Amino acid sequence: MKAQLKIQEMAFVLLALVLLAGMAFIFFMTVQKSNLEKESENIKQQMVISILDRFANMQEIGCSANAICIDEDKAEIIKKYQSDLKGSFQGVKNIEIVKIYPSNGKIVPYSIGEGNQSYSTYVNLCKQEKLVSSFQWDCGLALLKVEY
Amino acid sequence: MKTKAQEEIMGFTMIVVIVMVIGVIFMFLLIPNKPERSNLELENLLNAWLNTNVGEDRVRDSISECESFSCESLNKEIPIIKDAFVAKGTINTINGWSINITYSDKVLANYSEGKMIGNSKAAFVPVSSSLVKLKVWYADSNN
Repeated sequence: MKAQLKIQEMAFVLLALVLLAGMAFIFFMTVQKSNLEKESENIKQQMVISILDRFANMQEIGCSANAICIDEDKAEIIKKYQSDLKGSFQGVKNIEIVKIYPSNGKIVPYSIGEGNQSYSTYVNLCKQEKLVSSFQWDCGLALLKVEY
Repeated sequence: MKTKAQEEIMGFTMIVVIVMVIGVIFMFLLIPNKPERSNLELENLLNAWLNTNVGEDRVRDSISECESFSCESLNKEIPIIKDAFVAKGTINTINGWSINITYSDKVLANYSEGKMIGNSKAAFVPVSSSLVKLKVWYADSNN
């Protein structure tokens, strides 16, 4: 009888310990899960920005001054002919370039409706200036916003 | 007899709890520390800022000038970064930001604004012989 009681007690203790170990593991996994979620959100954001970078590098809108830049003249031309370009930018509903420096204001080169998701990244907005015998890029800072 | 058995069980439980706590701490320590990676959004901002023309020269030219001569124009160009945060609306979600430009062991510029607390993201871009580091501390834990 006494031995049975002891075994029972031991069983309860072991059960409690297993539960405790389980709780500790759940705590560890919860912390890990939230870290992973944060990391996946970061990766998603980075992917979106790299898509925008590729967008800014498109021949139709990009410039050759540096890696990620938009040709202001090309943007103005796209704005003029945007009805002819409908559907040219796959899935893109709106393209907006917000000037930050040296001037303010914005250029909306392409707009065919409202998008569900909006992404943005920093780019150079450049214009070619004619010097005596050559051309020079004059670049400002801008924010490229794309709506899908 | 009963008290002794209870004491034994209590002692055993305590040992196991301590071992478990050490185990959990060990599990957290086992996770390798992630090296600080350059954030693409901030990297784009840094690159765009460095290639921005202020007058005749670009910001990156001011850094080269600062390496050998004067940092006056560079110091005037740093606030453009704040304009960029304002334009995107990021300024409302960040606690603070800092920019650090080093040339060998010499600090060319070290500017910070706000509180350096919360989750942070950083970007590093080499310019000429210097290294430009932009770091932003976010108020929102999701960042």
